[in-house]
Amino acid sequence: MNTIRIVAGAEILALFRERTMYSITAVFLVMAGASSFIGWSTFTTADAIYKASVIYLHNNGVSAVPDNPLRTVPALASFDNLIIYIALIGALLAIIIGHRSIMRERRAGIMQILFTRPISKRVFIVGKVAGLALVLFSITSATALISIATSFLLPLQHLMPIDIGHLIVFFLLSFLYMLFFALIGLLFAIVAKSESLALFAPICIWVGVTFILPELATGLTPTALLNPVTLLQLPPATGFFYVAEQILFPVSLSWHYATMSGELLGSSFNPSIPVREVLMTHVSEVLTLFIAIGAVGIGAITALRRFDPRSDAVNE
Amino acid sequence: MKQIITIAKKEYADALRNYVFLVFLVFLIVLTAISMYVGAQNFGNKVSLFEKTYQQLIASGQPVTALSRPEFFPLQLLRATIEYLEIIGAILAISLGYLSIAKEKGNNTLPLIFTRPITRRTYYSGKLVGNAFLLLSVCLVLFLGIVLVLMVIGGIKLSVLEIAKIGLSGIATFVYLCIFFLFSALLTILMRFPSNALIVSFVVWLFFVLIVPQIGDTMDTDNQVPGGFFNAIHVDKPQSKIILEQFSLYETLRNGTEETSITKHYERLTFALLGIKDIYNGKTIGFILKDKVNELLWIFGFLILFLVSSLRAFTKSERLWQKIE
Repeated sequence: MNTIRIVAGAEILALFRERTMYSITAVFLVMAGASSFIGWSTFTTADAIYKASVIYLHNNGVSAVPDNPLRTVPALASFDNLIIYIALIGALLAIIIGHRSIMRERRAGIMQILFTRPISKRVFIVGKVAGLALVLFSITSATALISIATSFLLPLQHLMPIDIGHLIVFFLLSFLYMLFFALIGLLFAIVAKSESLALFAPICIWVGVTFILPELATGLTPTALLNPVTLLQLPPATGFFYVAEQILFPVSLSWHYATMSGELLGSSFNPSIPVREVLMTHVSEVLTLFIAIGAVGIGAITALRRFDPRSDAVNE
Repeated sequence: MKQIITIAKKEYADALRNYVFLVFLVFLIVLTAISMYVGAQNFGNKVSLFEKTYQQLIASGQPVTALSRPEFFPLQLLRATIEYLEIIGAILAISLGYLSIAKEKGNNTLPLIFTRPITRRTYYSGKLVGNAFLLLSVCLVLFLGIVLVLMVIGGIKLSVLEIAKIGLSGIATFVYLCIFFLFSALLTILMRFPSNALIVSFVVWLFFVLIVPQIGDTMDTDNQVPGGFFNAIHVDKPQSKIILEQFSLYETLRNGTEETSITKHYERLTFALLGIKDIYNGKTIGFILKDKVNELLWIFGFLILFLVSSLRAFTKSERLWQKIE
């Protein structure tokens, strides 16, 4: 246990010493803050456009103007963009964290020396995973704090305690989602022969999970998958898409993440669903996420056991 | 010139032996096929939905004049293909730009190469020519494949104009990929550790290929409500344009955000050429290029900027010589 703590501590220190990590984390946190602002400014403008439309229609003799459709949009909907930013920047950041955590040691040739000491590979990898999980958790917590703080600074945001509860569960879910990608980055940093392949392979998987699987199951193009509104407003699955959905849905992690997050943030047009109910209706999806994390984690342990530290040199 | 050709040939051969490049190439080809198939399925779904609604209205004795049959425009099937080229094509180009410089910088072999009678400019020009030919080959394979799939498998008779539009989209794609190649090569030259350059390239790619266009898209007020904001309040397109005139500052800001992304310019140009943007459907190439001159200027501006700066960096930067421990 003590060794795990030492490895985890070293991992955290090493990650926080890297300038590149700081820069990407900064981009992520800025975008988290900006997402609330973008959501708020768009909402405010759309509201003003509605008022201008009412005046325009009245002036043109139209008396029956439909109600403002934005009224049905819940307060948390301005956080919608966060779902996309976490699926994009958060996942990429996680891949890089996982990649660096092993690649740093491999590049410096530390692993050859490290395993001459009384430390098992299993303890080493558990320590590494614990370290990067803690780093990811800190980043997710900082994102949550920034988002909530920004929302209080902006007018028109009336977050209730239940909303904060929804946000906390959403961020926990986001943490798990990012952890999965961090483990993918870590796994490929162990098995890949070159540094670039170790980074490109997880990115291919990320593209597959984020764009290809959902497209096959829904017919939505990549751009449509990046819009929180179109993302959650799907046409009924018929023919090919019905069959593809049946096959691909169970393994489509990004889809699970997006739908659960959409319900937690109320953007799937039922703002009053309690957190417990959201989780109860998505037990299988949450389980899939845990199974995926477990599988990649076991894969990383197995890969490290087979890893020969003598073949440690990484090149292009 | 002979030296440039020799180096270019070596670059070409090196890339074809590289796993990373081959993986991305196969990935891109598979995605192109998938996206076209999904596009065709999507259109099939629209037609069957139309047929169903039409039959229901006829059966219930209601008028069918409000219904319009979905029209088939084969080039519109390429929408997702273009979007994948924006995303994966850019990654492929980044990987090439990185590998092209990193393979020698990482192994500290550059000082040895320059003990031979070759200038830095000639050496880098050879690299550029080799990789440009490689990217051109990729685009040729993809776009010829697209034409063949549409004509042979899809049984669609493409007109000369349509084939020319696909060809021009292929050229636009080639230039777009060159921009990412040059950008990634520039960073790899300038940064001390090539792996850091790769990570920074990815962050920039993520920001300008995915995030910035996404911000522009979500700032679009019409995207705030499923089915469209204006549709929900029964305001048609010409009326919405008049109303939006009062919000020109917001629209300028939104457009300005999108303009910073090279991907958005590439997308606007190719969507216009392929008629994915309805207003350009059936228009002549001259009309489209004239209307999209802004996008052309941006795209070639980025190309020249990164070409000049990467060439300058390769010939002047001392970072290239620093030994990597």
